[in-house]
Amino acid sequence: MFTKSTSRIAPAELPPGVPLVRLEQIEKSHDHGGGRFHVLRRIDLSIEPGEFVSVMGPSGAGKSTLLHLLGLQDSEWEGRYHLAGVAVHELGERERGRLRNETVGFVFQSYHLLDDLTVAENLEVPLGYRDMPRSEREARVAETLDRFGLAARADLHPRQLSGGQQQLVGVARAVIGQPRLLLADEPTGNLHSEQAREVMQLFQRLNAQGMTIVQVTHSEDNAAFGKRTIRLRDGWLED
Amino acid sequence: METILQDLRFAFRSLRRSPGFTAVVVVVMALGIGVNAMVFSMVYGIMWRPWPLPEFSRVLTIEERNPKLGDNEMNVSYLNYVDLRDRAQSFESIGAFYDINALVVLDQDPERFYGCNISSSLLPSLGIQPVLGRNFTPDEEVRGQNWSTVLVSHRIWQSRYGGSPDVLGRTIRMNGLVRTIIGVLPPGFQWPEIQDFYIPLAPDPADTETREDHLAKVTARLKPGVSREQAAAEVATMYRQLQLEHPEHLKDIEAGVLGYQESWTEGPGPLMYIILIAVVFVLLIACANVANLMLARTAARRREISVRMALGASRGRVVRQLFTESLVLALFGAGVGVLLALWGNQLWIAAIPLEKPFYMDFTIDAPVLLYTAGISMLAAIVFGVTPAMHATDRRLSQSLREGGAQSGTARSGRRFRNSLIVAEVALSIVLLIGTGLMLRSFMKLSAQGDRLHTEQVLTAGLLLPVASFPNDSARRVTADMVMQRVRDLPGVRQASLTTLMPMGRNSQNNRLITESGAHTDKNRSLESNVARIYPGSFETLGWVLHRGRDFNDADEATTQPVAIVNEALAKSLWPGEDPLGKRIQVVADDRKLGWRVVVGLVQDIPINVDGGKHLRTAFVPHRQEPNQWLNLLVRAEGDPASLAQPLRSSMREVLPDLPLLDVRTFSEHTKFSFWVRRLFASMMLVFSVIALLIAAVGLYGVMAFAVTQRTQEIGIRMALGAERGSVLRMVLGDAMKLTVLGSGIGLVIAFAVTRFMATVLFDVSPTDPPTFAIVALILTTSAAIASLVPALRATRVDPMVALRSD
Repeated sequence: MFTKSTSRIAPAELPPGVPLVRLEQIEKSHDHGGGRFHVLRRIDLSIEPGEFVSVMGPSGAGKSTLLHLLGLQDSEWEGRYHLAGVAVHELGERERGRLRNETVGFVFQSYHLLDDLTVAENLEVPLGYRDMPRSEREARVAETLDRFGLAARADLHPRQLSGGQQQLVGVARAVIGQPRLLLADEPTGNLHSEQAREVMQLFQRLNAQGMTIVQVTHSEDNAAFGKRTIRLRDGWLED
Repeated sequence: METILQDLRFAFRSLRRSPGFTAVVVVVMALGIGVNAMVFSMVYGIMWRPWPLPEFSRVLTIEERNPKLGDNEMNVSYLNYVDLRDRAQSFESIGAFYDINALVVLDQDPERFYGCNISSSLLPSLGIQPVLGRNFTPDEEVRGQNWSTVLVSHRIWQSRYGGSPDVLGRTIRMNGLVRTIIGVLPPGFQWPEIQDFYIPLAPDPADTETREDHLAKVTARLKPGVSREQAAAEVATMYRQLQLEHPEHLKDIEAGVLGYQESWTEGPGPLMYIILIAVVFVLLIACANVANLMLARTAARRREISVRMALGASRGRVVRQLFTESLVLALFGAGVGVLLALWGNQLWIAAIPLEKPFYMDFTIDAPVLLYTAGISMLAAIVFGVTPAMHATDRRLSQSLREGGAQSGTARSGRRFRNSLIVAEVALSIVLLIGTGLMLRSFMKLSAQGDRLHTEQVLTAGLLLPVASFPNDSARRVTADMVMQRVRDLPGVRQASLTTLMPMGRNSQNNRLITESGAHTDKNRSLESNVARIYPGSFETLGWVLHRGRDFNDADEATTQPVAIVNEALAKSLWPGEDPLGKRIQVVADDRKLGWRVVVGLVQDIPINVDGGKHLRTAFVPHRQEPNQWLNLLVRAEGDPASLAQPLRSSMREVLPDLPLLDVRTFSEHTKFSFWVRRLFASMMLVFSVIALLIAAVGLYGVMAFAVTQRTQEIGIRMALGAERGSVLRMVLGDAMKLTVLGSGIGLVIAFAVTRFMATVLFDVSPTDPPTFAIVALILTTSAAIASLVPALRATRVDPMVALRSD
């Protein structure tokens, strides 16, 4: 078992049988017109290392909220959340930040590349927040550019790329920090079907290499690339 | 015309919809335009407003110069004036005058006024004639013949004689002589500054034995059709002829001809230009700031502008619409600015402890309003056109349709906004450095006075008129008597007198030569203040005598002429040598006392704090060179102010015709002396604070806008692992980059331009490193504070919310 003193924010290798994500009775709500508006209701969810989970549900069901909660972007919730064996619900803000940096990668629907930076510089951004030495950052960026077939576009700016290429950079940026958990919020929402399929195939390859992936999607086709689909409705997790 | 009205209607409607924006822009522009209107009315009033005299542009002045000795702007020798008057053909009339103090008994008690000795040709040369009575005649311009008549100013006639025509023939007692009023001058005429009494100019024949007296200020009215250059050429030719006729007196003497107003405004010129440039900087900073606000606003109005253009508005049409808004804002700013200027004018005019000369008029009237309107239009162009051009760039609207990514135009907008901030910071730093230098100079000069011990010293002036005290002996006896009376007053610990007050506003420069003949040529010309003092002056003021001795009662007219020099003079005359025992001679020494032996060395204390060129001062015993000016220095046992009344009473008993002038404590005297420097340093300080505030608000605005624009980027960075600290550092870092760049540029500009301030600085280098460093620190700190709020706001960006735009 992980003790507080050694494992709170420094996830080690997970022992067999311990899920990467374990949510217990997660509730999220906020004030709304004098009452409470519940966004997530008593969510219990476990995700094993190496899973590829698709989260589906109608608009307003709480999919993105759940994803941001999983990605430690949100701290306004109740319940118990263990990520990589670390009790997130016991962590302070700074510790959550460190855990997030070491464990989670994010892919966005609108790519959210930084326009003034080149492809290579965009890839370097998350490494810069991990206090990584410059030489190591450069090596990691070069390696990732090669791995994703982006070396020829390293010095281009995002506006010079197609949507599919931009999302490719977005995925590369999400995984460059070697996260255990890759979270993707409608990663193909802005892409046409061919580009969408390529991104999904990329996710499959990453998953095959051991990356745990959770994606939010409206598309049954995209969901089919995953190994498991969970559905949300009005904040409840459907059986 | 209809479209203009339509633009105006749209402009008013659009501005009414954004009351906060409108109010901020109007306030910023009002500050920028207001200080400009105020300072322009001051500079215009002092330098450029035509004097209220008929066709005054035709009035020139003639000065004598000795280029070899570096003597410029000398008055004209009386005999040369007479020759000019009689021979020159270019002028309708040539007049001469010099101003004097007028101690006048109008009712019972003597009062101090200002008077002027004028030639009978002066009034014609100025195009003036008495409104009542007559002008002087040439017959009265003879010593002795000029002692019975006087012309009075219109205001004296009105205030003291009720405007009665019976004033002609009434008598007054002035400077010891009874004079009959023979004329009244026109309303407002108080030539050359604030004079009220005019008597005929008739120099002492002894003064005119040579042509070296430089007695007369000369006015010359050009004949119609004659140019200034023609007149100057004629005068130059005349002087060459005069040199041939009087080689012994006029060797190396030349004449300069220049416009009278021009010659009068040479003195205040540098200070006026500095203050005018300062407020132009404030306006530019305000414009840069408003341009930034306009850019932010047009960014927020992209949709409206895109719709207008999609509906067929040409770019020019939309630009005109937006520019009309700028113009309306600038004119509103100008309106409020003029009100501010009116208020500011009242403030600074009230801070002047002197009556202003008759020709100075600081009214905010047509020329000032025209200038204000002009700069407002320019301001509208400066702050309005670029944002309007930017807002209507077609690439921008195209990028909007494409959505999402920032376009090149948006980046160029950011660059432009950043450039404006850099410019604001650079201008602010130049202004702040100018102010810092003036303040440091002011403080250093004030500190000079602190080296004296004058807490208990009372000062007062006495003027011994020539008519009543015609010779050295009379002045010496009177001064001795005055000193005795003052020393005998109860409560007086020490008393002395001097002709030149330290930390004052007057200089009395004479050229000095040494025994070795040094300093007689141009390259080694040396001027020094020469003060006539009584024994005990130094001790009364706590003025340190480093070496040698003070004067004593044995230093008489008949004994060895002696002198005391200050450190600055000793260093100039005998660098590295002991000054004691050396000999000096005051050139143009009236009494031809010859060589003086230096018997003492005192510390440097400035005589003239108001633009004296140097510290050099020589002191000679008053008893060896009695002067008509006596400045009493009285050290009290207790409160010096309590001695004022006893001193007045005592003087009235022995000198009933002479008013005691400027009775005040030494600290009041110093405070008075500094009024010009204090006023201008205060003004610069106010302008700098305004500029700094505007620049800080501008930086705040730009950073706040940048944070808003970058909310998503900040959200992305936080989603990618940025902690709040690194976001804070990023925003502050961006602000600091702009500040450091602006400061760097500002420091370079300041380094280049502050040298023009050298003439108004005391003991401070125009590139004074501490001033530069402190100003850079103040500006950087202000910038950090200004950008802290947006930076903190950036750290509160919720990545979930920021990225929800998906």
